[in-house]
Amino acid sequence: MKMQYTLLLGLTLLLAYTPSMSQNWIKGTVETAKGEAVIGANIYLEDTYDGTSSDLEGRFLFQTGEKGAQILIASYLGFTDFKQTIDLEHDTLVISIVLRENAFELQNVVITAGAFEAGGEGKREVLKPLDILTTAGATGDIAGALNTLPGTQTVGESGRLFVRGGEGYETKTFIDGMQVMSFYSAAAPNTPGRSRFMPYMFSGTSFSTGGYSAEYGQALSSALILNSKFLATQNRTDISLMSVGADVGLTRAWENASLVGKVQYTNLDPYMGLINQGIEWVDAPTSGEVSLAFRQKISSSGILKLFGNFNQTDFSLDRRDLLDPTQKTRTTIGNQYLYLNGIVQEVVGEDWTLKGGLSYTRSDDDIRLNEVVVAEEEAGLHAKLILSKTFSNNTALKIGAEYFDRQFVQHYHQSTDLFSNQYDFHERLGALFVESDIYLTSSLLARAGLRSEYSALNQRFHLAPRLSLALKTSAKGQVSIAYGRFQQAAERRWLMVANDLGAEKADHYILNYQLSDKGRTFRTEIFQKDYRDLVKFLPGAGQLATDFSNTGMGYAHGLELFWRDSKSLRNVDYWVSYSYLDTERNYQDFSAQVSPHFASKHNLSVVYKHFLNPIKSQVGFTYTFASGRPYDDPNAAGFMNQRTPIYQDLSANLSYLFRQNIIVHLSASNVLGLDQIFGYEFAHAMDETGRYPSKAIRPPAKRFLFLGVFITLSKEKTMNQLPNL
Amino acid sequence: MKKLDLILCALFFSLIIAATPSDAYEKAMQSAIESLFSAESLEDYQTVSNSFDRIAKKEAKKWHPIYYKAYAHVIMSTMIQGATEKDDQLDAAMELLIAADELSPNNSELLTLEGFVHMIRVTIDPGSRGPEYAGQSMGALQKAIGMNPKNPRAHMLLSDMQIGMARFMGGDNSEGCATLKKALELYENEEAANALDPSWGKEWALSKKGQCE
Repeated sequence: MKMQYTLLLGLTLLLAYTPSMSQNWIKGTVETAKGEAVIGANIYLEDTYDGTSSDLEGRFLFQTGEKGAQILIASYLGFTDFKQTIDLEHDTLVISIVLRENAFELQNVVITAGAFEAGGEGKREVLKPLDILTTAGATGDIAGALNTLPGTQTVGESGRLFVRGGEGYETKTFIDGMQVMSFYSAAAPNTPGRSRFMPYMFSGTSFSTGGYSAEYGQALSSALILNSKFLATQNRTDISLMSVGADVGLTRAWENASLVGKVQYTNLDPYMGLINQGIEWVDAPTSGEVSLAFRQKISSSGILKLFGNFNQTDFSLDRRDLLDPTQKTRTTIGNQYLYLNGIVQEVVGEDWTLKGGLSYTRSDDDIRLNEVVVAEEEAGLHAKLILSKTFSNNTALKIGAEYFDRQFVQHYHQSTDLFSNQYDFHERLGALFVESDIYLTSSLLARAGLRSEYSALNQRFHLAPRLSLALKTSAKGQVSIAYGRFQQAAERRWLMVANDLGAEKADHYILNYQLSDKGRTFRTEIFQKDYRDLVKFLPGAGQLATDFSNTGMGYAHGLELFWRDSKSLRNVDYWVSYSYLDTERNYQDFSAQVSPHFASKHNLSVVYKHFLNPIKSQVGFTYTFASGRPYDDPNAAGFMNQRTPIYQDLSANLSYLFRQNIIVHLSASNVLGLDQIFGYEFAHAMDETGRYPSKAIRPPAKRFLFLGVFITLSKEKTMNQLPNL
Repeated sequence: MKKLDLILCALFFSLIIAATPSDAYEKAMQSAIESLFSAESLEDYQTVSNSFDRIAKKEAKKWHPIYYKAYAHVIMSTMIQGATEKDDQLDAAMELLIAADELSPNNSELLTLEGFVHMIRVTIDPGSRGPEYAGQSMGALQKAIGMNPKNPRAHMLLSDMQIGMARFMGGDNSEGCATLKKALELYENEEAANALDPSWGKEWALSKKGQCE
């Protein structure tokens, strides 16, 4: 009797708890807010296996043995999960589900005004990191490659990025968000400096020609934001043998950490000896460099990056006096450079991301001009803390604080008459910023930011508002506008003399249209830039400036076009950039508002790359055109009303995959041998005929040739340095 | 005695509770795996990816459903057009593999699938991506073989990379063919320890035999 009772009870329980016994149907449709069917959405009961996917019409139907109150979930990539408590009482339940877009996940609008992204592969970037490295004429120089993009002006004797009527110093570089000072290596007068850091270090580049985020301060015209690579995954050794030197890189990878070390030595003496130079080198540039990068995954969401770079460069040359060519000035320059950068990032609390960073730059120059010794020492510290979070209601928030500390000292000593002098300044600057991305609709994104800065040096407080809007106008097109106020401390050469000089300011207004289809991008941008508070002074006796003030001003406006196509022709990738620029300014010792010497009205670049499978090589060509640049001829009437001849260059390169792990790289600038004139130098005094003697500023040699062999040793034998070239 | 009945009842009851979910897990997984390997269209793969997603959400400690969902995304990446779309699928697969690695560290099958992801990245744009991702792919596959020298899938995919590389560089493919031979041997002798363990790839390996004859 008891036994039967037990069995009966057991059987009842079995009946009650075996799912297949009594089933309910759940059916319905899944649509977007616009009423479009969602195909392939996942519809299920929470914490059960019961569920299904929506079909081509957005319909779904499934069975469940669950009873009582259950939570029904519908999810689809790019949409916020739909959740509803349902009561499984009836045989069939019919539910209409409407999914709301999660704009941050969809990323269907991105702010493109002013910004050229070269981020993660395949995403919405215009240039990939690798593109930067295989551009002919750039010889692996970051700035060299970016100079083929619209918004930049060809200023060949400098090698720097001159953006939209701005001077070279108005472009600031950041590595992982941290400031880099002296981004360009030391170079002889009127010869181009190179970007100090090798492009292979970076996985993403964002080159902004205006209107950038409130996170970036102390940059008047442009921000070059470089994101370093994270963990290296494999052990490898890289050896490079180049016509100008050699380097060895070692990579060690562990489970959650990696270390990359590199030693480089370059010496231009043999090359300069071989090819006739326009410069009388006593000792051509020689440099030694060591860099170390350590990366660690500190938790499933936390990362640590440490990077250090040390470089020593020396060179010496003779410069002939323009008035009396028998007189030579021996110029000897030695530069020691140290850059340290560390960042740590972790998720804290309720999905907040905390990022802390610290960078330190030290750059010491020892300059000797005959008997004059000028020693310049600059040290800069940058600390930054950012908290950011993406909220489910289509809003993201970023708040941050920054501190800059910069010390500069210049010692001037003349041994002949025992004259000594010293200039210095110590700038401390604090900043707070807040910025929010808000999807007003799924196709309209707004970014509003505010940055405040206080400088202890001139005791001035600034507010800089920034605003961008991006509207998706069609599946492939979008319009963006941006406005921002930007400021930057006066250049150190003026600040050291007049410590109380205020910051220079610029307002940017940008209108951008971008159309991107698979493998093809068209973009156009018009901009207006208003400069004010530029440094102004009077030329005093003995070339010493006096009467410093922030009364300079100027403007720039223009139109830019960009077209890139990597699809139409097989194995071919090309892009064309055109910039029209109209700019004038009255700054420094200018006597009127005129176009400055670095601004050319028309700039055109055509970059062509072709991968030739049969010969396992990539060939590339870059053509650059720039209309004449203004210069002032003291022998002619008027101020800055002369123009240099137009500038043209055709550069070529070839990368040949000799073995799986060996690449041979050859590049040449100015293959047509055109006469390239960047400007003119004039003597400071008249000669006996009453004229100021002059000299054209040209590249040191007609062409620059480069040959390198890059060897990679790894266990897999397949890796090579192609991504590094 | 009545007490004993109740205890027996409770025991019986808890046995059902204990047994049902894991049976249901196995059953749900087997049915989903079956659908995965009979899927033909993109929609089929999306549907089966959803199935694995549901199972993974319920069974938060199991790596198998995540693994198969990742596999579905890798296959989908080969079926759709456009580099961005392909990358989106591969990104989804990589994210899943990272999550699975936390549940089952040092798993040769997960590394094999990672090697597969990198391999597809190469095919999207061999000229620019080959150098980086070919190395990563072969690295992951060799690591997978290191963890389980009897993994036929890792050998099969590695042979594919080696043969492709030899073809591109104009070298001979004996190394890749030796790896393929090894893969075929391993497939012959493969015995799954668990019914849910990956067992795919044999037919693929057989179809490639021709390249080496």
